[in-house]
Amino acid sequence: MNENRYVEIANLTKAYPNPFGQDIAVVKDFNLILRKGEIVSVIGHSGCGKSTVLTMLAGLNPITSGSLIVDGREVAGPGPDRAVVFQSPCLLPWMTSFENVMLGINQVYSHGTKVERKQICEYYLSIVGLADSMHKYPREMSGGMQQRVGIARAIALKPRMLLLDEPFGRLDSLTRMDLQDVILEILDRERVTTMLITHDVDEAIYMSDRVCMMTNGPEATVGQVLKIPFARPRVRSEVLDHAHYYDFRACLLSFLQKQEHRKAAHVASFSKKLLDAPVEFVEDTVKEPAKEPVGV
Amino acid sequence: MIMSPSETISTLFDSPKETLVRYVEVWTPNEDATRLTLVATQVTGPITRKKPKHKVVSVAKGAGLAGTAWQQKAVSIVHRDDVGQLDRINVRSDHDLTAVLAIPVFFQQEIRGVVVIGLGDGFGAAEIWTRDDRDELAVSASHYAGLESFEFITRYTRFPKGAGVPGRVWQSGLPYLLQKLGHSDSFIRSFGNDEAEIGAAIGLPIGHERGFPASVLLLLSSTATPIASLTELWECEQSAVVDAGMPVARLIGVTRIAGGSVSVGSGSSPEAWQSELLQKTESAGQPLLVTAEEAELPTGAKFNLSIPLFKNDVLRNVLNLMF
Amino acid sequence: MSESTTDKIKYGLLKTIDISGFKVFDPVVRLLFGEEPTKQAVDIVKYLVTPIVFVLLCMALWTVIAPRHKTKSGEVPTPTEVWAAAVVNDTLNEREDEKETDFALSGEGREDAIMEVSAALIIKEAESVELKSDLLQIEKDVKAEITGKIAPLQEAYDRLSQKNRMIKAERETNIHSLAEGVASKKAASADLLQAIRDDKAATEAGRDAEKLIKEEINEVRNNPPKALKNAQLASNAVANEAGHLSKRLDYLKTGNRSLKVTEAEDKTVAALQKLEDASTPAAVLAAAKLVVGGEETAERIAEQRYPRTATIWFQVKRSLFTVFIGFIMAAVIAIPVGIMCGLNKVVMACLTPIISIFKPVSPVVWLLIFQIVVGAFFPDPENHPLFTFFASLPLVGGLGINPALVFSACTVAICAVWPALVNTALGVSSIDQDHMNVARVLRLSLWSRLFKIIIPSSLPLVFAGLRISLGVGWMVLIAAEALSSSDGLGKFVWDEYQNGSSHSFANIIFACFVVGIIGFFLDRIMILLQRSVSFDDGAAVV
Ligand SMILES: Nc1ncnc2c1ncn2[C@@H]1O[C@H](COP(=O)(O)OP(=O)(O)OP(=O)(O)O)[C@@H](O)[C@H]1O
Ligand SMILES: [Mg+2]
Repeated sequence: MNENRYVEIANLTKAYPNPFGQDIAVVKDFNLILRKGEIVSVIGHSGCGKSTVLTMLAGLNPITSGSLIVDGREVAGPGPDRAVVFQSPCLLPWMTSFENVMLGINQVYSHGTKVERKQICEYYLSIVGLADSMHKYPREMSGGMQQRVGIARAIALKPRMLLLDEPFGRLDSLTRMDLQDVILEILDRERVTTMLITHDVDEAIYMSDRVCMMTNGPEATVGQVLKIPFARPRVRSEVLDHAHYYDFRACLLSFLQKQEHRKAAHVASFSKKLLDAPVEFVEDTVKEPAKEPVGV
Repeated sequence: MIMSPSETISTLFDSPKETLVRYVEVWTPNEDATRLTLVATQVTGPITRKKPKHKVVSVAKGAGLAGTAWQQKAVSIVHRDDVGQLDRINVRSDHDLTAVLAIPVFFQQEIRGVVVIGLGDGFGAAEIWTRDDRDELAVSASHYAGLESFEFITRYTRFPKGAGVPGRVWQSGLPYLLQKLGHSDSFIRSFGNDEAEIGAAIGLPIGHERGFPASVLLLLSSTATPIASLTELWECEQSAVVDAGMPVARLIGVTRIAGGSVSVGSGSSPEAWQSELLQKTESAGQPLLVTAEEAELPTGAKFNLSIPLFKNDVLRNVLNLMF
Repeated sequence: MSESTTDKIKYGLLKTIDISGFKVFDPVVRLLFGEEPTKQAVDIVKYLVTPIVFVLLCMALWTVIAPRHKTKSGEVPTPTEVWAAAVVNDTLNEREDEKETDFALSGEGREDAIMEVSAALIIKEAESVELKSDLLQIEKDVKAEITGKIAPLQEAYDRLSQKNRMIKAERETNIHSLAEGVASKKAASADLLQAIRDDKAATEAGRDAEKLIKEEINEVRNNPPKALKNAQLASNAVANEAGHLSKRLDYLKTGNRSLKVTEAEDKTVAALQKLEDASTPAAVLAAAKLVVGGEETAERIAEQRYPRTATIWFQVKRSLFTVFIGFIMAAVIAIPVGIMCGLNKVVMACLTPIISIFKPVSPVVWLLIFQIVVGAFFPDPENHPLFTFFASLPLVGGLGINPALVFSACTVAICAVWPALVNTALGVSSIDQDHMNVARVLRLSLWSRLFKIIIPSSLPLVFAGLRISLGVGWMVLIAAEALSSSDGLGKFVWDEYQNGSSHSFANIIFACFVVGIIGFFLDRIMILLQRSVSFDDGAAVV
């Protein structure tokens, strides 16, 4: 197996029908290749289609065209080899954290004995720092703790790929930093290929080996990929103090800012596209600047 | 601001700016395509020409800068420190040359010429993007005049197929002229571009490899020191190329960098002098350098470099750089 | 007690009353534990005292308004009368219990009971005789008093009516003469007309005056002094009691089961004797048959139950049992079908027309349909194995399970099935997509998907549906029982309505309260269940 092309996303396209029955490509020709064990962040504006890409990779969302290959196998439907952690923890509220994690372990380690499975479950819960809260119900736990359970459940599957969709999106910044370190520690040890969707530029730099910046939708795609050259395992203070940290940060921010402009320009043309009869959508490579308004 | 191409061009050379390109050489293959011969040299601005040592200068494949570019089917760059070691350099460097680029022009596998350009001080950049093991484009060689942080970030930047200007050129196999970078959404790497005001980017496919360009040359032109006084990218209508010798070229973009404004003309038909140039380039199928004496050029223009760009077996574009 | 234990108790209590749906008592508990007394006091006044006062006001209004409305079945009963009816019904039930025990008593217990009851009976009878004589005396007194009161009134009345008659005759002669005058053109016809009008008015006035006196007389006659009524009541009560005691004696003596058994056994012994004595084969055979028959009779008598008359609490038990059976039937059908509907759109599409058409059908129609259908299943209900089996069961045996109960339960089931079904389907189909995604990612088998994800997540809605079902079932059942005369609260109401005695109306209203209160508790139980399965605490709507 080619470890350099462990996950291959080629010309991935997703179209949803608009209210008039026309297919609008939310994501178009998305190309990205992940190395084995690599952590890739995806950033982009809200609604650009990050989650769409991730859910397609998870197999939860059917693709319109293109191909998705993980470890040499075409993605066909969801499976425990691609564990997902969403923004909301998605724990089953009628199960304790132990039972929640166990549910996955029972599927994956079906050959193991009961005791073994229990040990595995306890191990993963303890590495996310929940050794004391194994038998609590989700409603008895804070959002951060619930997300920890979600992470333990995902990691315990020993997935080929870990898909994280803004896993810290709803947490306060302290908890968020805590969990970032928890995940990094696990990933450094287990070397799971990871796709992390985030809105947080600092998180993207701190957590990942590469940051994939997505252009704005519709027809969102990869705009640019930025390599983050910091060595692993990372120490937050060292990363923050790195001479070029702010260059990377500024690069990501300026990309996002640029996309913001693009969005404003797109809204007009896109709504026109929605309302008119199907017209060719002209790429705005040579768009005229807007006319100055005449003095009022 | 919208102006008709002819109108802008007529005033373009009234107060010419110093360009980043300081001299241009055109090398073309001899009859049996065993050697490249230097057929034309022109300098811009304050650079003065050396007296040529030999009457006819030619190189074999792999020899010298032009020969290297031919052999490697890729743009060769010689940086500031190594410029002095260039063997047959035929300009006297009153102002230090900071880099020299050799751009090979191929028709399928056949060499059609090498354009050598010497770059001076100022702002601007030349980047060579090649594909890595993950089908992403990364800069394999580059030259930056100014633009330190831009250079830094570019080192860590990758473009997947279709992303950014390099990705686009690579995917389509066609050149791409991107203007008004400061505002354009297609220019992705806006970071680091604030101080230098890179105004335009010219992406050229170089060589062929399994249906895609072997690499992409990206020239970044600033308003302060543009690559050329006038840059035109002509798109040829394919059918016309095939049946008649005379291409009916279609203008898809003109960049005028003087005064910092950019004018655009899309789809307009060429004027007489432009047609003549295009026709010459088309019939030669080689890079062509003509001076104001040899052909009709806009008043004030010194010379024009035309580079034919082929995709598969068809001439698809002509890039005109006028100084 | 340490701080934390009090807190524990406090929050335990608070949670309990919250879960059981008596949140109104929350401030009371808090007040007892001294938490923000003024706030709790305000809350208590607002949410506890005010409603109580309001209910009391309603009762007062009822007390005032009820006697003013006279109906065919007497006055609308006041709360006191309803309460009295409740007490009477309870006593009736108690007496039935006593008789039932008496019937089953044997040996020394019986002897003791006989002694006890006889002694009580003697006392009661003496008391009864005394009270009766008292009553007679009072009646006489009252009669005398009333006659005394009425005599002058009657006299006045007689005088008035006589006077009126006389005046009337005078007016009539006058009119006659006027008529003659008019005929002979001596008088004006206008005078005659006026005279006739005057006559009519005067007659009317006279009659009204008579009526007034008559009403007064009636008033006196119909409102005997309270003492009489009390005496009557007391006498009746004691007579009743005495009657009951003598009935008990009957069941202890002649009607007693053990005695009957002994009698039958004696007969068998006699028959055995005969069998021994018999010499001809025919006689032997006859005697042997007698022995066997005697044995059987003894056995049957030993198993006999006391033939209870249906008291209200018996009816309540039976209704509860019926509604329980119907509810279980509904749940057993609704939950699996609902799950299938929620999981599969095709199943849902298939069932939608059926649900839509049958849901609005009136329970009465279902009752009639089931009465016919169930009747056909049990041509001989007395000996049907199902019913003999039920009759032999310990707790429910005495409830008299019969086809009527079956079709009532079926009616309950069919009316209660819809809310449970629809809610279950909704619960399953509206399961959180995130949870389904978990199942998909883990590739759970259909079985674990069902039991680990789908059912737990839809349980709250399932129970919400079941709760509505039980409420509907209870309402439907009472109507069904009333209509089908299947024993139960409905039948109690219906019987009282048909019976039309002076207590009927009060009994009906009493039954109304019983139905309501039982319905309320059933609902509370369902809320408790619903809460216990709702995982996010507080999903339940109270
Ligand atoms: N089922 C759907 N039908 C139609 N459009 C959809 C559907 N799902 C998503 N979209 C559209 O696809 C686009 C991308 O959605 P997506 O959730 O992937 O965005 P995102 O980048 O994850 O945004 P955020 O950062 O806010 O999570 C949105 O504009 C959304 O409107
Ligand atoms: Mg999202």
